[in-house]
Amino acid sequence: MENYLIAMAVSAGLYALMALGLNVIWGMAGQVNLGLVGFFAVGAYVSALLTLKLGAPIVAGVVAGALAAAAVGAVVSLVTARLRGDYLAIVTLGFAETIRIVASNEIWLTNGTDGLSGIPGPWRAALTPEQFNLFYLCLVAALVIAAFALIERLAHSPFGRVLRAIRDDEQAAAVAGKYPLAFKVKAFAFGSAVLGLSGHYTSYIAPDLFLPLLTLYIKLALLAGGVGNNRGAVLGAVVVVTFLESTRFVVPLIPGLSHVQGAALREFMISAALIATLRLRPQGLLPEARMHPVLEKQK
Amino acid sequence: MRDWRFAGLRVGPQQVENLVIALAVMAAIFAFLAFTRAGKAMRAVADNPTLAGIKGINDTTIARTVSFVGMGLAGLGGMLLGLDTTIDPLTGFRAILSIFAAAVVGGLGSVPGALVGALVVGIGEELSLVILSPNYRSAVGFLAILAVLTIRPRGILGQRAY
Repeated sequence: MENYLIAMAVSAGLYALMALGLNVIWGMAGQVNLGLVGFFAVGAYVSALLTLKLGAPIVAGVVAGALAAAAVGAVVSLVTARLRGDYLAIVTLGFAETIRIVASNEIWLTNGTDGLSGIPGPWRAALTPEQFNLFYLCLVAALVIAAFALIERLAHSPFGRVLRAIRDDEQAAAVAGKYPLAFKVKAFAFGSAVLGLSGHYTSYIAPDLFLPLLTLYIKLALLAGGVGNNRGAVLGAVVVVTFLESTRFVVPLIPGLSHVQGAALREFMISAALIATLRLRPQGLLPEARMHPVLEKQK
Repeated sequence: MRDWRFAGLRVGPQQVENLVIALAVMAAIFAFLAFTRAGKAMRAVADNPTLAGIKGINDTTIARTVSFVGMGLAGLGGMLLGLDTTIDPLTGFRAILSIFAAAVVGGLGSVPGALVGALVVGIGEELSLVILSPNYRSAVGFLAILAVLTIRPRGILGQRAY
C-alpha cells in the first residue's frame, strides 16, 4: 500500500510537471498543443538513449532530453506560428503520432515496440528499492517546486505579460511593438522543455507509454485546475491522478462487468469528468488571477 | 456481384457506389455552402465572427449546426469506409492523420480543396510505399502537412491560412 501511494504521488508529480509545461504553452501563450505526449516522448527517448547507449550521466541525459524537446517544439511552432490556431493543433497531433510511429519502427535505435529497459535512475544501485522510491518522490517533488517557482516568476515577468497580451489580442500586442512570432516560439519551446524534462521518469520506456490518452489526461489536469494558473496546474494534476486511481477501486464494485468493460468504463468516467468540468466550471478550480489593478477593482 | 475489370484494374461494385455517394454528398455540401443563406452565414462566421455577429448571425447556432453536419459527414465517411473495408474501434483514429493532411493540403475551408487534397494525400501515401516501409504510411500525411504549411500555407485551393 505504501509503495502504491508513493507511485501515485510520483505520477501526480510528473503530471504536475507536464501540466506546468502545458500551462506556459496553452494557459499563458494561448497555443493549442494536442501532441504534448510527443514532446514528452522526445525527452524520454533522447535521455534514455544517451544514458543507456552512450553512458552519459543522468543529469546530462535529462538536460539533453529537455533541450531536444525544446528544439523540436520551436520547429513545430515556427511552422505554424503565422497561421490560425487550428493548424498548430493539427501539426502537434500529427507530430505526436509520427514520433510514436518512428519509435515503434526504428528498431536499431529504439528497440521498437519492445521498448528500452534498464534506463539508469539516480543512485538506484546504492539504495534499496523502497528507499529509491521515496528518494525518487522527493526528487520529483523538488523538480515540481523548482518548475513552479520558475514558471510563476515567468508569469509575473514582462515576458509573461506579453504572452498573455498576445493570447488575448495578438494584433494589439503587435501594434504595441511586441513581435508575436518570437514570443510564441519562445513560449512553446520553453513549455516543450518542461515536457521533455519529465521524460526521464522510469527505467523502462516503450512507444505504448506515449499514447494520445496521456495528452488528454494532462489537458484535463490543467482544465480542472484552471488554465493559466500555475497553482491550478499542480492542483489539477493531483486531482486527476486521484480521480484516475479512485476509478480503479470503484469499477470492481459494480457487479457484472468484465475486465475489459471495466477498463472501458474508467475511460467513460474520465470523459464524463472532462465534459462536466467544461460545462460546470470552465474556468477550473483555481481560475487565472486577473493581474490588473484597475480591472480587479471594477469586479 | 463480381468485380469489374478493365485496363488491368479491378473495381468492386461497392467501391463504385461509395464513390458516387461521396461525390454526390460533396456536390451537395458545396452547393449548400455556396448558394444557400445558411451556407453563406456559416462562411461568414468562419471568416469573421464579430462582423457576422453585427450582421445578426448567431454564431452559437451556426456552431451547433456546423458540428451537427460535420459530425454527420464524418459518420457517413466511416460507414462508407466500413462497407468497403473492415472496421474496428480504432479505424477512425488510424485515418485521422490522413484526413487532417487532406484538409490542410487541399486548403481548410474549401470543398473542392478537400477533394483535391484527399486525392493528393491518398495517392501520395500509396506511392510512398515504393521508398518507405508501410509502417510509415501515416507519417507521410504529417510530412505533407509540414511541406504544405512551409511552402503554401493556404493549401492548393484554400483562401488564406492566417
